[in-house]
Amino acid sequence: MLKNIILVCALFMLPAAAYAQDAVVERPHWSFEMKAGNFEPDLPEWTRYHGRKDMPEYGAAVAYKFIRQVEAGVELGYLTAKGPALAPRHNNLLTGSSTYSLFPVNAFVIFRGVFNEKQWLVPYAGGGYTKMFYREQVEGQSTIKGSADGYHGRAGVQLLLDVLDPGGSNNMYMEYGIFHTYLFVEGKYTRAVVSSTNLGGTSYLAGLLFEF
Amino acid sequence: MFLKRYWLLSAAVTAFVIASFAATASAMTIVVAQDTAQCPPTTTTTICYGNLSDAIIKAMEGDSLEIKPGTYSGNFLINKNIASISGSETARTFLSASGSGAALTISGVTASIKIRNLTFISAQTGIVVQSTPTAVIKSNIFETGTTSTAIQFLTSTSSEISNNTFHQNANDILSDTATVTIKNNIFSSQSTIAIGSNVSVANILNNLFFNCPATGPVIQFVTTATDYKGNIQNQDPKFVTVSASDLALRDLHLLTGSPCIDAGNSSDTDVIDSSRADMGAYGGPEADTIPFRIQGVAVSSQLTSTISVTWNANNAYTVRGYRVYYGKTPGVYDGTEATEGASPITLSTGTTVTSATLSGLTVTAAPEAPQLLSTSPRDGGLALNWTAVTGATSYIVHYGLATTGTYSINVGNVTSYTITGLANGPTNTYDVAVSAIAQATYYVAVTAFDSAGSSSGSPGASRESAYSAEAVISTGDAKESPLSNVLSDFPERLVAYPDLPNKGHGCFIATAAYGYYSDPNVQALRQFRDRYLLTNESGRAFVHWYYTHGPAAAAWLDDHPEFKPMVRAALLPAIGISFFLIKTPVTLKLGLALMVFCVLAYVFYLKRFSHRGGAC
Repeated sequence: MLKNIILVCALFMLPAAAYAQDAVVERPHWSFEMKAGNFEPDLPEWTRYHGRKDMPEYGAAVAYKFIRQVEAGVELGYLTAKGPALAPRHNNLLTGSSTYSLFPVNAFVIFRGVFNEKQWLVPYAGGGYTKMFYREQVEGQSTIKGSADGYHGRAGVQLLLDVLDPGGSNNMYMEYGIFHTYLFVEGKYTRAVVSSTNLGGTSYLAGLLFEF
Repeated sequence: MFLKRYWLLSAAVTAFVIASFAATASAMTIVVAQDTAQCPPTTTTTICYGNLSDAIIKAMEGDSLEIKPGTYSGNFLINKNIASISGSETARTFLSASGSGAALTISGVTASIKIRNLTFISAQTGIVVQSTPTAVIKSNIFETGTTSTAIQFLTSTSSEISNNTFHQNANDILSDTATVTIKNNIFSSQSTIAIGSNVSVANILNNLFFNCPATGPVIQFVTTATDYKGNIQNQDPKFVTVSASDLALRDLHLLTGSPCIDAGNSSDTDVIDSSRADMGAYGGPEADTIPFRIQGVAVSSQLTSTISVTWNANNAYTVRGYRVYYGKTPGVYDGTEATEGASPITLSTGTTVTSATLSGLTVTAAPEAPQLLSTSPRDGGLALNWTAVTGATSYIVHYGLATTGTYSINVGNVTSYTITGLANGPTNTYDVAVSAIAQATYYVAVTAFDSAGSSSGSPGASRESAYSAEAVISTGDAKESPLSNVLSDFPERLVAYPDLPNKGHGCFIATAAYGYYSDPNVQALRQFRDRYLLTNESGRAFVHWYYTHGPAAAAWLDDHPEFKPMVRAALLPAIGISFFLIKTPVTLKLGLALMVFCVLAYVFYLKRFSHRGGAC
């Protein structure tokens, strides 16, 4: 297993080795990413009460690259799910309806395995602090709001789209000042506990990242 | 074998040729209806569209467009040889430009085209006829606006404008070069020009001009001129009603005694009575013969089995009477039980009798009991579901603490309802049942008919107006079913999953101390806040102060959970008072207050007595 992982990582790095002698080019410092995917809450009864194990997640992040391999930024997310409400004194009878929403705010640092501006596969990993805001609305009742502190870790792979469409890449740079566009997939784990309940869970996300 | 094939081939070719010929030879009638229920069945010669623009685009040379009642807004353009565009009911078929541009433009149509039985409203120009040699504009109403023009001819000749009613336009007919025949029209209350100066003076016959400004009409009434025959000036045409601000409620039919009756050109006859043509949109050979829709229908119940129906008169001189339709289902007037006769009841007594009585109506028997299917808790309420019962017109929910007899609510004709305003918790277990109510309900509509419509019964078709707006009434005693099965349940505050503390608003410290916002002790404090603090100024001030400082204290308590038992103990008196105030009846509260007062009074008395004793 370990050998396989090392082999995959080595394959990712091959393009870097191929372009390592390129001339010095202007390198972007800022990036903006948009992503969407599924979030599986770390709540034991979630599937029972909501009928499915996950909920949709949407996010956006802005980051600054100190060097090409290290960036720090802020990420905002939005997750929401509708389901029945519970009547605790009726043996948790499912009745009525409720809406459960999360608004995670993540401050993160990410380390990227990028060694060349034209490297087409970039693995990355990182993590940081999480402030998880929550809101619960049972139909006909007042809204419950709050927040919890926690952390998150994430890792993924970015695919440089410029390699696939150099013409489009040039246009993006000329018209919008975007140096690189990446398509990425990532996994994320979040933990933010309030009253012994972990509001976090595991996310599977995909999106686009623009460097400018 | 060969012979058989030959004959088969010949038959197929012949059929194809005949079919192709038929397809190219027959013109289509394209119906435009905003309500698909108005569409006739599609045939090889009839097709229906919901949109006038689509119909115009799809129309081919020689086709006719028939527009069902409704308001069609837009700037419609016809630039191909369509045979006609007509409304199926003049008073209810509106073409509107929404105040901008022309409602209808006829441009470059080389064949004869007829525009009839439409009402043009809210347009800068009602109809523009451009480079179209033969346009016949007949039996329309123009109320385009007091700054607008009804008809504008541009490089078009040899057209006819007959039997139209022009009312409250700025200009009625303007033209650059046209030679048009203008006959049997009513020009009423235009603010500028009835007929523009460039219109040829030939054939202006049997028109009425009324309420013209000092500057108009441009056409002078010359009784001796050959081509100015039969015109009438300055006589009220006597419309039924033009005072309503809603154009849809204006009835431009003619009253008895109108000078326009039988005053049209002697060569024309009325379709409605075969006499000499009337002037205006409802006279002449192609007039709409459907009377104006009845307004103001109302029903009232006199006795348990009798209802009275009243309506506004339709005073058009052609109307001969009314029909009263009734039934027990909305829109279905199939009643047979009235002593006065089965629906419709025909009143051929002229237009002045505007009421009718329906007696001997069925009084409904009690319905069966519904079945109460479920109750489910809500915060301060119970949600109920029950089965529908045949014949029920409404349902009554009965409930109370350990009895169904305390409260009852008529909830209408529904099969679910949520009782609100209840106290939460198992100590407040309510018995709930439902009963059904049945009462005879009648739906009534009225129509008007003319002399040829007295024996038919086809509302909205020729000679009888469309149904009026429906009136509804319940009559007879309401009959109640036995009670349904009884279910018992108690309300409670629901929680979402996961059950999280409310750190936004609410009982911050108590929530932190007890761990959950839905904890009964926290809920008691919340209810105390809602009932006793938020209902007065000082209480609200305290809540505001607490909302400002409470979250910080709660956060500190979350960070120091070892203090939570202490805080819970400190909160006990407040929670106890809250439980007492929200869970006990008023009498018990007053009794306790009286007892406290007596104790205090006794203590005060003792202290005073002992003080005096000391002094002696």
